[in-house]
Amino acid sequence: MSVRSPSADEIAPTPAAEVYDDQGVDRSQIRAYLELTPRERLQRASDLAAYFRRLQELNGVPRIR
Amino acid sequence: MASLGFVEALEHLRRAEVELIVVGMASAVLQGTPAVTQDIDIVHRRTPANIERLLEALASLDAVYRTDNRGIRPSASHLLGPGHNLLKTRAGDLDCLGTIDADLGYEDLEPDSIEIVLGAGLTCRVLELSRLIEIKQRAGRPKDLAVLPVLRATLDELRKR
Repeated sequence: MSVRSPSADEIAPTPAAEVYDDQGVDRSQIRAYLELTPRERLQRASDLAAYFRRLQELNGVPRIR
Repeated sequence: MASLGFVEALEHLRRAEVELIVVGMASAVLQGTPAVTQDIDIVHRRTPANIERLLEALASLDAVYRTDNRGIRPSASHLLGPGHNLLKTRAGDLDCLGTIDADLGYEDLEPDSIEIVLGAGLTCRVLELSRLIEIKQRAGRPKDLAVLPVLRATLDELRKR
């Protein structure tokens, strides 16, 4: 199997202006979240909270409020 | 301690027919904001009948005050007041708030809340995003101001739909 290096075009980073709005918010994340049901959104938030709680227990990471 | 999650906590409360409005970042999440929150904030209706239902639901979630190590359970007198009850439950942290902002209770916030579907036959009232933004703007703490851009962007995306 041959391996080739990607061309500059293939790895060119997306300009920041195409990703973030003028407040620095990635709108594509919001649009993706809006496709989920409210229940799915809350479940994700809950999973993340459980993850942070576990980190806190393991490492004493301060609670973010 | 938490063996259940936020979804189960809200389901529990609503199945017990507790009248409540989800406020804070959990309400933003439910409306489409991709954000992190470590608890659910609710404003409950402070009538004796609703407090009774809330107490029953909290007991079944093993709720105790999380700021005190003695495992104190909330009582009716605690929940009837305007203060904030910061609880830990087996479904995560749950804040039962008598009032928020400038002493706004359930009845004050209800006109600016919407009902969302949580699951089959189960709905839940949440504070509208535009009102949440106003409240966070007024609170003006760094942590409130930090989330304003993503809240405003979510509101903007919702209005485009």
